[in-house]
Amino acid sequence: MSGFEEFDVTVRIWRQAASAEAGVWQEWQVRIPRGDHVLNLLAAVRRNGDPSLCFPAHFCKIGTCGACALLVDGRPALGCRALVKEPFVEVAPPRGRMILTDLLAEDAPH
Amino acid sequence: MLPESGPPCDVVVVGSGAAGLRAAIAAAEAGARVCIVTKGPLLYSGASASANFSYCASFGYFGAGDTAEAYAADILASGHGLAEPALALRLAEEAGREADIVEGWGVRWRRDEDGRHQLATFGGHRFHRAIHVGLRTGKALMVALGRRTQALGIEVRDHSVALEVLVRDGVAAGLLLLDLRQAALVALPAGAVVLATGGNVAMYALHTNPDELTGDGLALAHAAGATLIDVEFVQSYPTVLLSPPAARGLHYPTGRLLGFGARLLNGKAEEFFGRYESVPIQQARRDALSRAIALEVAAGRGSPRGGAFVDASAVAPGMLRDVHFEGYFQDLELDVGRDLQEVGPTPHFTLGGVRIDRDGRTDLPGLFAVGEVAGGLHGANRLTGVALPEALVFGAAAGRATSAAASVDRKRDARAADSPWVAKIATALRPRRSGGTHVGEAAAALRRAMQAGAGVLKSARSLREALAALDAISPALSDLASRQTGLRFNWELARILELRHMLEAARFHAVAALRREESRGAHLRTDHPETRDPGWRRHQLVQRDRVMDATIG
Repeated sequence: MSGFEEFDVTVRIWRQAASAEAGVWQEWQVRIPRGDHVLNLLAAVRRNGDPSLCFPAHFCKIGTCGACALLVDGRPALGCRALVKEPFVEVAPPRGRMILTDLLAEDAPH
Repeated sequence: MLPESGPPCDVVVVGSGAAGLRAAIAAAEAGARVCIVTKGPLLYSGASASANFSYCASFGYFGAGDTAEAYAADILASGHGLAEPALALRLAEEAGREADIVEGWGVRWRRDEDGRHQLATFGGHRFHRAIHVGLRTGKALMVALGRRTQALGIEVRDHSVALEVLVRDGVAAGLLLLDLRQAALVALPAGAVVLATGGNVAMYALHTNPDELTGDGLALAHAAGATLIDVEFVQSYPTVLLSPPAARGLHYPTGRLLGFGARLLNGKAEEFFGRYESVPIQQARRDALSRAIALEVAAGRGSPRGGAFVDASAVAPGMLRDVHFEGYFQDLELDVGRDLQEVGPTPHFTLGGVRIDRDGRTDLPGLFAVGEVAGGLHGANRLTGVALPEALVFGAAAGRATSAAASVDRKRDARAADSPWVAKIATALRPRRSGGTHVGEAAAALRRAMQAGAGVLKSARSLREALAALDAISPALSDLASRQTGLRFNWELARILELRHMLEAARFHAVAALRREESRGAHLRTDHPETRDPGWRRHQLVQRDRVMDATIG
């Protein structure tokens, strides 16, 4: 992609069909530009791994709306702000919110 | 699978950005039962929340000449002869009042000690008109509108994709939608339908918008028989970051930085804007900046990724902090004061759209369109700071006007059993052959074709290539099938269906752009670089797949 250095990333993602069902970790290998953000990493998984992966698809793209809140490597983070620089990354839904599907959770209370 | 009937309402609003929420609020305040249908979660959908800074309104702070008429005149000048005077005047007259209304709902416009709004200025505005809340004006607006929407108890159907405006006896009678949360295909009977779905710049590979802006409302309006206007005009944001990877597509607020002393440089580190324009770069409108960068790149003097560089090293650090998106740039490890930033013009705003009158009425009775999905206000270029007031002014106007449409005694017969979408969904849900194309690949092919052939610079040849690529994608649509089963949060199914909308929007844009053999505002043809007045000082309309000409006003 436009001359960026790419690298292979193993990504472990929490999959859960609905809040009442059991979840599992799944792993994929994807190749992305080094230092891309987590949302673009998830998009690469959906493109090249599993198209059914559900994650927040509606967000501002400027780091302000908070819609892409996730747990990245166990820590709360915005998917659009968290950069992927290591060859292993773990992504889970945000804590304390009802899971709709996979990484997509019910809105935080406004 | 046949559509189930949803609860009837007076007004269905499609989309929940600023225009949609403002329309819903106005209709509900007029006593209508309103339902909002939105693709994402309520407060996080649409492009409004990404609006960074400004809302331009005329408050008369600068004396006798600072009037709504002057504001409207600036919009008309910016539109290169194609902005519709009646729409521009309504916007200019009511932008201030709408700013006051949302202030009452919690938007805290920055004011000086004497109570006057703090004002910034932008190229193309003859007076300072940009009021703001600091940064994140769009987000502040969305929070206030969301609170008001919830306080009024307006029904919201989220995670739902609009498929068809249902038309009975020549009037809009409801909406067919796919509700991914409820796992249902639903026909909602309604007295009036308001399209507030935003633009369609997600049809490009690199753009500044949320990826959900796939032209749904444009396609729905056209399929229902409404007229589209000026669809060949898509505004580029002149300075979108091209690097590093995580920042691609992020709009870089060069307009403000230039005013603070930043410089725009080509790949050889030369200032070049003066080669193309006589106005000082600080006063340049977006279309002029985009054109200058695109032509400099075409002349072989671009940056490595096909853009230019912004040098902000001379900007005072305090001013730089002001454009940092509250730490976002730091998180992306951009040091804008130290490093040159590589930027280029990238699709940002859909100028054309559904043709409307002063109240947002389309030419199909009962169907309204407001905000970016509508066309005619901006003509061939949009002034900075006009998009948010457009959303509020026309949202409010249409919301009020729906009550008249919805109260007309009309049989709200919204059966949709014969809708072509029933078969399209069944096709997309059948078991998929292994090895076939999936929707991500088809969408990427469309976006690449539009970027390459119908992007910032166009020619007859590039547009024909883009159209040929779109024609090649078209038959593959019915081969696409979702690998998810069922309807519940079946996003692959949703992507397949909205790709149909996006393909329509892309085709309208390319066909109209090919037909307009001149350059004007945001429409830049390398094979026809001149503006042809008065010959091409006319709109192009699209109706029932036919393109035709129309005069202004």
